[in-house]
Amino acid sequence: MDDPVLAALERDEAYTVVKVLAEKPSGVTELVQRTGDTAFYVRKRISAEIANPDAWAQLAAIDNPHLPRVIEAYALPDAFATVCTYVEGFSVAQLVSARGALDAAQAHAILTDVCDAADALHARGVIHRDITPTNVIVASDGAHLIDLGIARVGDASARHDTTTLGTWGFAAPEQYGFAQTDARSDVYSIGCLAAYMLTGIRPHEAGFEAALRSLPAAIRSCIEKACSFEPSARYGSARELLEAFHEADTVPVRRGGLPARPVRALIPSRVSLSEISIAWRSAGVLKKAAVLFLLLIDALFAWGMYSSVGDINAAAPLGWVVADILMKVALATCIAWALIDALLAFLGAGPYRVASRRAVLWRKRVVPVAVITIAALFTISFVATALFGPAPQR
Amino acid sequence: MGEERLTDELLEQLLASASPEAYLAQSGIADRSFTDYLNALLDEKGLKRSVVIRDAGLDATYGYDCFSGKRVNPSRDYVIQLALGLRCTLLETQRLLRYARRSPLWPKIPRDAIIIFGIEHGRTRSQVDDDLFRLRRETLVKAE
Repeated sequence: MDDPVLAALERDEAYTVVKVLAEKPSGVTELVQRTGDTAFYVRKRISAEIANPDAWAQLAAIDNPHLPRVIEAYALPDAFATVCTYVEGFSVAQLVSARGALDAAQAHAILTDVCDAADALHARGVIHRDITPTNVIVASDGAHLIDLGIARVGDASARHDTTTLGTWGFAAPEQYGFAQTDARSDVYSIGCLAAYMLTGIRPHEAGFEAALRSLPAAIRSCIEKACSFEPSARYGSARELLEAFHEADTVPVRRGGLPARPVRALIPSRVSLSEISIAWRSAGVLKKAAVLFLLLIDALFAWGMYSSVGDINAAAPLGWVVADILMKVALATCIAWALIDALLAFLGAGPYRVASRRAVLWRKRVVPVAVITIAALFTISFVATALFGPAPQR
Repeated sequence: MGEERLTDELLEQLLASASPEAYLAQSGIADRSFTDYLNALLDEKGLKRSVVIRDAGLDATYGYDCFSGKRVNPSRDYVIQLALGLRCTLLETQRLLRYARRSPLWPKIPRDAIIIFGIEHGRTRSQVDDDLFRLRRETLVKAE
């Protein structure tokens, strides 16, 4: 393996694409798996012009619990590819759009983690440049700052950034090309993020100013300072911003930052069968056995219900027969539901915590299939009973 | 990639059609690039690009560019090398050459005949090159 291009291509082909997460002119982001490994990774192909190998060399050396870990980075002839660990959870944008503004304790917990992550980056001279609600993922072990795609190493000699990147409303003014970006550009974005979490409104949307005024004065001035137009008027670092926040916010910090109850609106609406099969393949032997056992019990129960439909006396009034069937259907559905909930718990993330996507897949597919199957069995047995009389008695 | 239709059959249909529109509507043929067909073959055979490029004896960047679509009509020998790297059948090799707008292999030309024999007998690119060298014809990968 002497040729570097072939070597890079070989590294690239060690992964199989599970799903394309985003496709933009600047690059493609994919959810990938390594052959023979159940873990998920995020592979990002960044077009050669905007890729920043220096920043990635720095990122690879960072080990912070609130940042994705860089598995590898390699150059292909037309792109720079990076592979990072995948963080499963919901983004701050999803949380806020599902439930409105977050409570102060939760926002504070998320902010603490984000500032910690930003500090770790800044300590290495790397600027994230795209700290937005969609790039902060809230998982069971706290908030994670993801998407290091446009991160760059600060270069004191350049007068201003040559490329304008970032997210409208959250990117600092200097990111539009007025001046060189530095750690204070990230401070600006974190200030906007804090405001968004507490008000539920994006900085460029109508009503933002009014919502900001409704916040406690100490917190408001903290956000305003972080989001000053002039970088020198902002906090000097993410750590400073966080300390100011600690002083302004008297509510005790709650670690973890996860909502206690399930959030219905967060459940993805579309689930594909291939994702189910991936969830299945990535489950351990014990989980698989448990799931099969529960499904078997479910099937036996459904069969028992089915074969007892004929027990009703054929001479009984029709109303009785219908009531009997409806009751059994309801009972079977409840039990099937309970079994599937147990199954989800076995899979590692039941609906009683914030459901992880993988568990949601099961709920979205398995529950309707079970309910429809049971209902179909009963309909068939009912029609059969009506046509051919009661089932033969043992 | 579905069943490829045979050229003779299509030609017959074309000659029987009243207008080019009628033929295009009926035959179900579509604009398909060399890159598309190359990647379809790769998928169908379940091979990895790195393996194909190495077996084809191509320069890595050049090979990569063929698969990524940057090179749309490589030279005839490069296409033949790719076909050998992909373990193509003779039919697939001829199609690949045509998609690259290069002339198909022709048994009337001795050098082509040696290559056809190699493809039909499942020989690798380096074995085909050995045959070409032994029979004093120009090899696919030029000697350093």
